[in-house]
Amino acid sequence: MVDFPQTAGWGILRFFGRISASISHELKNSLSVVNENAGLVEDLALLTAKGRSLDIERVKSLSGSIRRQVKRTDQIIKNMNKFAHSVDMEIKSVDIQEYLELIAAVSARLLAARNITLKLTSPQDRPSIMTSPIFLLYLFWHLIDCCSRWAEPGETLHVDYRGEGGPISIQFQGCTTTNPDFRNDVEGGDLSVLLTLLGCSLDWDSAQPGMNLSFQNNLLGKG
Amino acid sequence: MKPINVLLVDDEKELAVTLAERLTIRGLSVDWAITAESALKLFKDKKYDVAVLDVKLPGLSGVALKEHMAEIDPELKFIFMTGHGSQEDFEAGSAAAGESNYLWKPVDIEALVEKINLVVGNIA
Repeated sequence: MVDFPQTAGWGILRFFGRISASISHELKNSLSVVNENAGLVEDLALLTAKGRSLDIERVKSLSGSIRRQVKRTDQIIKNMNKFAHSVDMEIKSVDIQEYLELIAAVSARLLAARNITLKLTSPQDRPSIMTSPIFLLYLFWHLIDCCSRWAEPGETLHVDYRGEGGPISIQFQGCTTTNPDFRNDVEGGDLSVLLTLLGCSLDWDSAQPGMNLSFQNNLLGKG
Repeated sequence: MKPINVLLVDDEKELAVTLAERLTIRGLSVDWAITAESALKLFKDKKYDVAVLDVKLPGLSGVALKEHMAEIDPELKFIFMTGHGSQEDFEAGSAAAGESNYLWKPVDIEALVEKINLVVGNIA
């Protein structure tokens, strides 16, 4: 069983709350676009009934927009579902790339509010590790959140990982602060707990600048 | 009667375009922007009666944009829209625009038109 200190419980609840709120905002936006498109179709129908000629191309374009929004909403709900199910098992085999993509998707709106873009590399190999899915997502969010606060608005953060033939490490790059007291700046003070729990270490990379997250604990194994 | 000039700002481009078109059908003159920065550019070249702003914009927020615009044109009226339901956002938006000038998304177009007319004084 994963023994997560009770004192850190509020941190993970806040994380769940923030991500859930961000997802609900995304859904609201998508529904709002559908609402306006449907409303405009109705407006055009009413105008046509009053004798104005119907702009068929405009109607087609509105229909296409509704389809795009349905597809977008479906993806948001899939991500929300995957995020919600991350608490189903305390420990499981986790595809690192899949979880980085998930945290990038569900936090995109929060980063966009800070005018920050997140880019993930797509490595050819996709290592998996045995770990706690929800705590791994929480750790990823901590680090992305920190980097985004240390970056200038308009900047792009880059996240990529290396695992070929050695321990897995993930780089979070794009901070503009050159020498932050990064361990103390992490929100909630849960970072050291998370690092210990997940068997990770974190180092500041002043050359990039950014952070390197390395997985060391025997809890983890490439699978 | 001179049409009401509306500046609509929302970072969802498809929403801004469609909502602007629906307001235009209802007799309003509408320009739209998807960032605070592009809204300020439009604002410098034209006199608007009312700005309809999303509370959450990337970079400069809707509330901060309102402050910039109000400095340039103290007569400009404001209506806020939001998809967020947090108390913090509600307080920020309603403090900036007045609680009665704060609309939740998805927006009811007729309620928005009525609100626009009300704030610019077209309805007693």
